[in-house]
Amino acid sequence: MKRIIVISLLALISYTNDLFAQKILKSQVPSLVVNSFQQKFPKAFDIDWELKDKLYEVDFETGLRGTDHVAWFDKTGKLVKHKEEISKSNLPGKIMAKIKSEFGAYRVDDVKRITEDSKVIYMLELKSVTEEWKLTFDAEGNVLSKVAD
Amino acid sequence: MKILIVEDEKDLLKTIAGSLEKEHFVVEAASDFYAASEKINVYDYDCILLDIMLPNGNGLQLLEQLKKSGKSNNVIIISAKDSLEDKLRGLELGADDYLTKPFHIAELNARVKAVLRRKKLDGKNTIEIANVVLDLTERICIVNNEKVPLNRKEFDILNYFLFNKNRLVTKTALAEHVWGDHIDQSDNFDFIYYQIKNLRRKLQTAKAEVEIEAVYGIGYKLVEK
Amino acid sequence: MKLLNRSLLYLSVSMFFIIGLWSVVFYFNMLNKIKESVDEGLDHYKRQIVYQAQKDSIILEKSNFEGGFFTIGEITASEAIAIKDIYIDTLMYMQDADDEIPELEPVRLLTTAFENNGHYYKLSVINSMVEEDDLIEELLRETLGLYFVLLAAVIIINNFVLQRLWKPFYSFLIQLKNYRVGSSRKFPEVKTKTKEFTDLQNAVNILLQRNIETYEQQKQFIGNASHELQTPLAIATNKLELLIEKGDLQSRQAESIAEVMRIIERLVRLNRSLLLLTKIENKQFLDEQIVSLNEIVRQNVSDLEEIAEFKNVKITVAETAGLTAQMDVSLAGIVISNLLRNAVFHNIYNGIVTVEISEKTVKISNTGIKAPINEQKIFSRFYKADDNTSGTGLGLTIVKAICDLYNIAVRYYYENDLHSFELRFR
Repeated sequence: MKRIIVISLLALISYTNDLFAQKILKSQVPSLVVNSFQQKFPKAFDIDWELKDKLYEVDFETGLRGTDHVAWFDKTGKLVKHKEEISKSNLPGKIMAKIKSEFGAYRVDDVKRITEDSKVIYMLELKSVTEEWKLTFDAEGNVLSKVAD
Repeated sequence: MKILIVEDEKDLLKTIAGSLEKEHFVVEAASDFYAASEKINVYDYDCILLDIMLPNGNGLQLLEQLKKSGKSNNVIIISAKDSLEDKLRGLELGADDYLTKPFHIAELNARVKAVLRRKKLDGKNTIEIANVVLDLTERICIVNNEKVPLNRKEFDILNYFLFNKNRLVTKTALAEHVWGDHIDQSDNFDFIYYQIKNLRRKLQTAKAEVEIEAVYGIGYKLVEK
Repeated sequence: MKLLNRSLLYLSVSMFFIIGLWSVVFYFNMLNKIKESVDEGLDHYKRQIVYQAQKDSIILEKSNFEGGFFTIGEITASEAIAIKDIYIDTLMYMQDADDEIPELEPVRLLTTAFENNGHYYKLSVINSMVEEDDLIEELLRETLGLYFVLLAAVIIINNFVLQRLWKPFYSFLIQLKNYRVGSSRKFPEVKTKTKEFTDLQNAVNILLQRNIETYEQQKQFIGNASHELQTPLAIATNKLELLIEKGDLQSRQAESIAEVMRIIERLVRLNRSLLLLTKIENKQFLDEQIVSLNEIVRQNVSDLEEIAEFKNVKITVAETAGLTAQMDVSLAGIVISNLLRNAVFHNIYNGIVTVEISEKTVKISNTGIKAPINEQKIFSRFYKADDNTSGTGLGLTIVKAICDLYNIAVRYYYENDLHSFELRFR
């Protein structure tokens, strides 16, 4: 029952977010993808598969706190992209220094690390009472984008 | 002889009165409690026929009244209610007899005469008609000074006829009087004819001057020759 | 069918279907669970193999199931991409502990594909499955076991609990069966606090109360009606007697009058009998005393002498003991007189009547028609064995009523061409 509710809820969300996103069952995912995923994230749980732009997008959680992950595989099972929720303290020192110097008045929230083709970028939100910014950094602490939220 | 009839049913009163007048009694009538009470207080009667259920009162109260004045021993209660309590109470209060409705005229005659006889008894308890004498104490029958041997039932029958001289005695009345009340199956009274025949023969042999006549096949009548 | 058994029947039938349905659902659920659990195991096993393959490529050579539960074979990339994880049920020769030779056993087979160092492999993993027919057989046995255990439980519950619950009802029913309007003093009583039963008791008692009232009213009505008839009957009798006495009648008129008088006499007798019955039933005879039945018999026999002589019926009395009873003397007379008259009047020419008095019984036998009379009906009101008599048909009813009043057992039987009535005193 719970599963049905979750499925239908997810279906609704994916419908509104992306018309082409398609919720699929594990049994419909190619074995190569499944096995690759299982080898790379053996402790994953709450796993949901979607087929999006020929990529298999898998939502899952790990760890005791249920850290959110999203991973994208191609049909041969190669990990294309991995987005992972991390804590502020895990941010590279350079980024932390940058934030401290330039955005000291803001609160850091919703930190994510995105790995794509061995390139790593970080995504985070900066919040003050009046403002909210979405920023992306590279590992060196350079700001790649800054968007008002 | 003066008789008072206390009875609220006019028709019955009339027939009883008519029948008793035939016997040359002086008959007076009262059809409710007050009339009866008044007559009882004022006059003396040789016999009172008393109905228990009366308008305005109970016959038993009248009986109590009579007992107080010492005149209750010549009362015959006539009641539709064959109830033991009433009967016992009536007899306790000094009533002489208790007759349940309906009754035969002959039975009433016999009862009245029995009461009167007891009252006027002067040592001699006999009935005499023509040359026939019936001694009720000794239960013997004498014709022309000679004893006629009668059996118990024949004696009772003759006694009944003598009480009802010149009157109709129906077979039923006779059967009930002599053989008892519960003669349920006595649908034919041939045996009564047989008894009467025997009695007649005995009376004839003794040259009695009375005769038992058949009346329309329904009963008999005793007449003097 | 008793309520207990009926409820048992319904319960057992419905239980049979419920348990049957339940076991089917249970079977499929359990099979699913087993498969899920087996599949999970296979999935886990698969991960281990894929993991091992990365470290130790030797297992990639394992191309058959001998000595293990998986096979691996290299395939092309396009073949590998097409493979999705599938689990199927299949059969495979296996040797279980209880098998002497390898047998076809059901197995669960997982087929998958993985990539290892740029090569693609197809992996098949198996795990033994439960044998479904074994499972079904076992389940059937367990289900039947459960059914019979439940059935036994229901029977026990029915017998002990329900029987206890219904006990007041049955005792009430027995009381009700024995209840007689007019003679039973106490209303049936249900000994419980169960609302349904106390409601039943109340409803029944209200009904009985009404019945009793009706019965009393009816009795009273008969009594009153009979009383009210007495005076008119007296007038009619007396007027006709006076009319006939006048004598100036033609014989045909006299005959008609005689006929009317006979009819009135019958009415009088009938009325008198009804009154007597009412009085007996109302217990209006109070003059109870010790009466000698021997004396009453002798008295009645002598009263009937002339009638018997006329009908040429011989009455003999055989007394072997003195019999006394505590009862109203006139009622004792009525019983004996009615039975004796009955014996004399329904007799044949040259017939006999014998009366036997023993310590506890009075038996009156007579010759008569050579066939038994219906003993069920003989004591009922207005029953006449032959229609010719103008009797009231109440004589024996009165006998029965009096006997009932004094708890005297009265019975009729026909034996050796004799009709006999036996009174048994207690």
